[in-house]
Amino acid sequence: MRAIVDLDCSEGELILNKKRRDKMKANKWRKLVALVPAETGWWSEKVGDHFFTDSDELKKIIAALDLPANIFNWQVNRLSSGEKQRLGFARALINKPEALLLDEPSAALDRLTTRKMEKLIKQQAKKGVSIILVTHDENQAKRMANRIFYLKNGKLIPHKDIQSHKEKLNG
Amino acid sequence: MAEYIELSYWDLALASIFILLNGALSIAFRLGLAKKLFIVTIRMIVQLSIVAFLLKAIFAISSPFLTLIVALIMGLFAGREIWARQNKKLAGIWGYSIGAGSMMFAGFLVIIIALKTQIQPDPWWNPQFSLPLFGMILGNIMTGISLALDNLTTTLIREKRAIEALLLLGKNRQQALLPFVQGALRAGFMPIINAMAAMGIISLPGMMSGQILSGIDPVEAVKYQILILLLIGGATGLGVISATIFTALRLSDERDRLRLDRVK
Repeated sequence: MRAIVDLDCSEGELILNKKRRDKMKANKWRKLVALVPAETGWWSEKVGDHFFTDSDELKKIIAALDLPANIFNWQVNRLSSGEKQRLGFARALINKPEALLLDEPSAALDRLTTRKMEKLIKQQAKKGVSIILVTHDENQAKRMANRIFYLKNGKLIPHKDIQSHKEKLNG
Repeated sequence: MAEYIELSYWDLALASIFILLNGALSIAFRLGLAKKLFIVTIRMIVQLSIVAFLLKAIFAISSPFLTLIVALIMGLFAGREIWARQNKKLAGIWGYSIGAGSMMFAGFLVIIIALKTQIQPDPWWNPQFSLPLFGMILGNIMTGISLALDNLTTTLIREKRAIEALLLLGKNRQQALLPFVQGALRAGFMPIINAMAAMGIISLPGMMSGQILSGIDPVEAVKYQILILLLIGGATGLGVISATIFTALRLSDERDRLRLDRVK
């Protein structure tokens, strides 16, 4: 996923809605294709400094993720890992990306908040945003995805093939 | 004005009594420093004596070519020192060349302008003036650049996640690296700013004290010292800025990526 957003050097062609990565500036591409890493970075002490807007839409996302409205005045070091994860997700939505790459988006969340996050992700998908979600939770994959791949020894294996692959490994 | 008082070798031997005393104390308290102290004292005397004879010879020969060679050698050694003082270095030739190149660029630019327009010795490259001045300027740029570069690479490694978060939100490398570049520049400027602030109150600089000891009017000595500090300040700034910017560019690329793989 780091290679898709061009944070790591990579080869090959990437096209999103007829827009080619190699014909775009990297920072423009990353606004189109947003990556939310499992652990996001913080460059300032105050939460609010990490958001370049205070639009109503952001406030709605914050509320939908069960975060308090005054969280922008908090210190980052006061945040729990679950709050950081949700804020990282909210931050990525501000640029209105056309594709979202989510690395374990709910790893630090409890069941209830996970469901709220999943609801938001589905809303994005309904809007036409392409989503790649990496998870260790097989049930989450089944709840969320219309295509599932397993990562085995660095190779993507489609879900429908996984049974025969397992047999091959065992055999 | 008092005359210059020449020192005899006996005077120097007498001055070493205090070092011997320190050595004796180290042995008495088992500090394990006596041997080290002995070695560095001898080393210092040998190095300075060689420099004395070299300078005497260079002044006597007084050739522009030789003066330039000596200045370049000084620069190369200082460049190595910048390289060695960094915890994390740029891999390959870049680790040496950015620091040394920026230092020499700033040092030569400032010293040439100073020699041509302010000090104006005859000839302008006269090694008696150019080499000691160049040495003082070089030493200070060296300190500034090594602090700035060390600060920059260490911070970029530590703050990788924060920088990449900025990049992921669509900032380009200039925007994402700016606060860290500013921090590195501040670190590089700090020694010369502190030195200037303390000048004359807390410390009497060595060169000025030396001139006063050799019988020069304190006002003249201070004028020289101010000139030197202005040159050092200017050159350090130029060197630090250029080395920091080039290193930041090398640690990122035109696709706005952080390239910590270029650090070894």
